[in-house]
Amino acid sequence: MEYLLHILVISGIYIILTLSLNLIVGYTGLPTLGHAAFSCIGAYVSSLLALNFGVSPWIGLIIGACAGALLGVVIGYPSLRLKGDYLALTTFGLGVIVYSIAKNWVSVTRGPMGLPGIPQFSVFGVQLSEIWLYLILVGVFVWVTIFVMRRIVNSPFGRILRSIREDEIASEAMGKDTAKHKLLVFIIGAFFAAIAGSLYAHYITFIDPSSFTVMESITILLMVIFGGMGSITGSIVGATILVVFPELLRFLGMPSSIAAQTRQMIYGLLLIVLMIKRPQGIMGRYRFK
Amino acid sequence: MKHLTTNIKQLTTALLIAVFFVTGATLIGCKKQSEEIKIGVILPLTGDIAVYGQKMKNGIDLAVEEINKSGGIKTKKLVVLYEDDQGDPKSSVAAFRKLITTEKVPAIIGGAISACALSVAPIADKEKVVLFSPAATSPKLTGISEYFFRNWPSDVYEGLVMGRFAADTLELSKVAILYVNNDWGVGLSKEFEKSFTRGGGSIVVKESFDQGASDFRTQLTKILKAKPQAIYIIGYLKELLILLRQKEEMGIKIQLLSTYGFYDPQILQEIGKAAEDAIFTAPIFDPGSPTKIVETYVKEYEAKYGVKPDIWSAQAYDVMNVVALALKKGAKTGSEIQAEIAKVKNFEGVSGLTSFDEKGDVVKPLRFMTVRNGVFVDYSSGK
Repeated sequence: MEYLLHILVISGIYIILTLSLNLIVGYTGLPTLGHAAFSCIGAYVSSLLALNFGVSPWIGLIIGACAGALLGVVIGYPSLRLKGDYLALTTFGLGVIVYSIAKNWVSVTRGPMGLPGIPQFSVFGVQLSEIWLYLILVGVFVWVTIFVMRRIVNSPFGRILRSIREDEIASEAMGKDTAKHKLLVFIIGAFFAAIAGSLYAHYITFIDPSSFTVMESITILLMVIFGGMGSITGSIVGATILVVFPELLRFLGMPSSIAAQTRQMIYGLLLIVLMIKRPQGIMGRYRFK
Repeated sequence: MKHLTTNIKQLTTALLIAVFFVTGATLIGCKKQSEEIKIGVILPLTGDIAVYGQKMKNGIDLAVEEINKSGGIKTKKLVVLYEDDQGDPKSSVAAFRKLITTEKVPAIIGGAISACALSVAPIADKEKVVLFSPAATSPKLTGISEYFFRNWPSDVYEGLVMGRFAADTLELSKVAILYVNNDWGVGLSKEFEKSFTRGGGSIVVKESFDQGASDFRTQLTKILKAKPQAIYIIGYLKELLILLRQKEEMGIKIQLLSTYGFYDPQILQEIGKAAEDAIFTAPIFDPGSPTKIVETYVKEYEAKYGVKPDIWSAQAYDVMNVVALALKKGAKTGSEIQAEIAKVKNFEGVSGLTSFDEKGDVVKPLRFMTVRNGVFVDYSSGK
């Protein structure tokens, strides 16, 4: 049973990450490859505050989210000048920078040795060490994220985002401040990704830079595309399936000499088949440009 | 309110998908077989560090084959269930949860690297399942849980052994320490100081440098002033190379003591003479060792896989045998196996005589090696 709950917790964390990236990539059409950098900041800031200064994870989560939003400004700023592939490469670079800082600033982040013994969340003095309690906490955050995202995309603000996606010049000609909107989208996306990072850190109770590589950013992007860009339901489904599926493959009952490798191959095959058969993703409205 | 209901609807859909898939799979996975004893193994079988994971798997497979050939565990067949964690902590946690939920294994060999061991050990503690790591070295794992054991000495263990050796065998009384300023360096230097002063010696000066530093002249000058008989240098290969070169340039002729990091052919190639006579610690496993147990191990390993075994497979082979030893004594649950492993004293493994201390750390002899005429040799050989 705990196994199932663990998978649900991880799914929840990835749903938050996928939704926040979907706002940037799916709704606004800004290709980014550095989303793990935001969750890295969130995870490290709240863990370091808790470990070094005894700050409650709740406050750490908020400060971490704000730090993530700040990084969102840093990464969002180039998006005002860059388009398409160039933006993708820039965000990729910034993702690598954040990873390298986490790995090499040993005196603060302990580098590749990681941060063990991160305290867990507690509510009214009760530690959420029981996994189902943590699932409820993550569920609440997922629900809030869905709620906020839905509000954003269905508002006039969200309409401007889609207009940027469809035709930025036309949108600007209509008198919309696209620069401000793009920056805001990065800030919001980064804020929620940092929350997810903090939730992850206080759940696993150990983080090291290897959890926030560029590969991780690509995995999140994969979840967005798999579920469907510009669809909230799609992000939820995409994240859940891509977290659950590899676990499911553990039950194939193959001989141990090939099981691990086959598992990776089937996972890859699933992605290929889906992208050929349904390039817009499971619930998506747009194709990847 | 419309949003709220759609939100809940979507969440429930996602939840249902997950529940459906996993429970279905769990049911399929639960085939009951009482004639087998199951032990879980979590290793990085794919991904960046798969090469170590595969070697450890080889060692475990060989051990299981031998155990079953010689009658199994009290006539029951020993079965190991492998899970892959790709060296990724969250995957490690998932694999661990899977093994204890669906297969109800009492012990798991896993947490091959420190990151995975540190993530899984708190859960092992809570669920009362033994977690036995073949290769995690982080000092933070010492005493993390009574259910955690490891067969690779903690990073700081070398310091303890070297301190004793310097005081008793080398009969030194004044030693300087030069260490890299991180967990490992600080921990190792403290252990060395403790055991060296207990043996009657004194530390005349302690100097540190940052990881990645390229200038050690200030520290070396200070050390020179204190007139020690030897310097214990704790650092990684990159820093060691520069440090030794600068020491040579400054014309310092003091006995060198160092760690496992010194055991690298690059030292001989790039430093040459400056490395001569340095003494350092190294793990005991040596495929060329003449003891009978190692000889048979090497022979069988080569017959099965066609390559010579190395330290990784030897570590995992011993871990499997220690767990089997506990099982043979009738231990069934996690706490029983824990109690049996904690009692293990002087177990004759291929990686040396193995015991465990009260904090779950392995206690096993290390080798002392030195450089003579430009080659690495055992310190005791030719003396």
